[in-house]
Amino acid sequence: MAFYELSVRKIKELEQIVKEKYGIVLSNFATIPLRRKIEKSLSFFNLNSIEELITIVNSDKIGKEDFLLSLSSVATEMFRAPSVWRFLLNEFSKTVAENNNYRIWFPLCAGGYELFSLITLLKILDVEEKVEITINCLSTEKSNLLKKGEILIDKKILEISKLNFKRFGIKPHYDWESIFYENDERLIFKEKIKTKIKITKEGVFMPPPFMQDIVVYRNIMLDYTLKYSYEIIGNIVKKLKKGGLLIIGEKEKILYLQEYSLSAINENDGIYKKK
Amino acid sequence: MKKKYKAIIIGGSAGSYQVINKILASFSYQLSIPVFLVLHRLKHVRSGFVESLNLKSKISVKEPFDKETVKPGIAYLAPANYHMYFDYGNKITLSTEPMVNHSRPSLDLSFMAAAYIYQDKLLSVILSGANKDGAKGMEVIQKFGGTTIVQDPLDCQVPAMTKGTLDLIRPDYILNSDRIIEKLKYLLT
Repeated sequence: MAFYELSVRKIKELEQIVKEKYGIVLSNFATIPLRRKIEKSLSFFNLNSIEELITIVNSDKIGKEDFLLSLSSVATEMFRAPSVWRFLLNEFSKTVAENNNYRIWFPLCAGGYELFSLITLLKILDVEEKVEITINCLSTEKSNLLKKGEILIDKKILEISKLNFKRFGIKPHYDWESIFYENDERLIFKEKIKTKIKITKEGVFMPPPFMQDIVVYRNIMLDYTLKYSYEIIGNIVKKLKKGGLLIIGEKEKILYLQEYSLSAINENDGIYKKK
Repeated sequence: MKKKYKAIIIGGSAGSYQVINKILASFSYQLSIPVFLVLHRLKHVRSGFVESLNLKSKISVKEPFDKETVKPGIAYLAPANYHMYFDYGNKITLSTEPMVNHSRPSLDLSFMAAAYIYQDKLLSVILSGANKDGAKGMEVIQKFGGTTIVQDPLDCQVPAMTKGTLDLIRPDYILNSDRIIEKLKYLLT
């Protein structure tokens, strides 16, 4: 069933049941992203109608993690918007070397591509051991892979990621093949990750205990309503150190910077600093 | 009695640039509805395209931010490497969902989303292009009662997109680029 064919009444019914069963508030998603997610979920579970989805959620046949997995549709790639990564490389070269407790938080793991891009920068600068990364990852499978320094990546995303990396422009020493190898749709770091990575199964509203130097949350809020996005931003900024950086997608915009004590470093790349 | 449209959506790919420029140059300065442009473009080139479209356009062309409020008389160009959707309350929603028809932005997705939000108050145009992206979207626009204009494949530099659409639907109009401009003027006044 296509997203534009789903009945509003049935979506409301699904929202109600999903909230009761899993505590997930689907109404936080914007109209079309939610419809696309339900369409994806139907395809994931091989169902023909939203009524069937409501039935299987109601009957406890699928758990919260599987349901969330069925909705997942984020498909960014590594080093997306290369200028952001160039900025971060430059930032790390100035700040991380002088700081033994540099903390970075990814409030949502998505595909793990952003995390891998960032670890690549740390490897290039040889500052991996000075950084602690916390990542909120709801998927057990992804968490287990991340712990081994691996991510799942399909051929198309891999191809784009390689092109992005090329545009990112670190050569000749740091060519792709000197950093990664691929095996069975997995991308694996050649050398073990030395950065301390804490993986938590909590959602975005459960921040890590310590104040963070950087929070990376790119292109995630696109799916949400404006109201919910602002709640998230407020929550994230509370965990950011003074002078810390918030990195969001290049097409996500924070309208009320003063309210969050943020200033724009580079709005075109979605880079903000906490005052 | 002519319909009161709430939005225009125009999609194209290879060979559509000249026609898009002509259409943008033909709009009235006082256009009272927004225009959405969904054009296949290089994903890594983030600047230059908007500026080139603005050179001849009578209305302002811009790439929207996510959740930007849509205003009349502005052409919103789907940003490179994002899908462009719409929402109630005159908002644009962007998305990094996977490519559709090897494309992001995908004409199909934008057309379907616009059809759902604007229903029969949508005026749509599909132009020259090298693949069939947009054909299914035009079918959905027609299903929701929107008006469909297809550039005549004989007038297209690359006809795959319009031919693909004509394989699926009988549109309201099949016109060459000059007639598209005339028809838009007629329908919008």
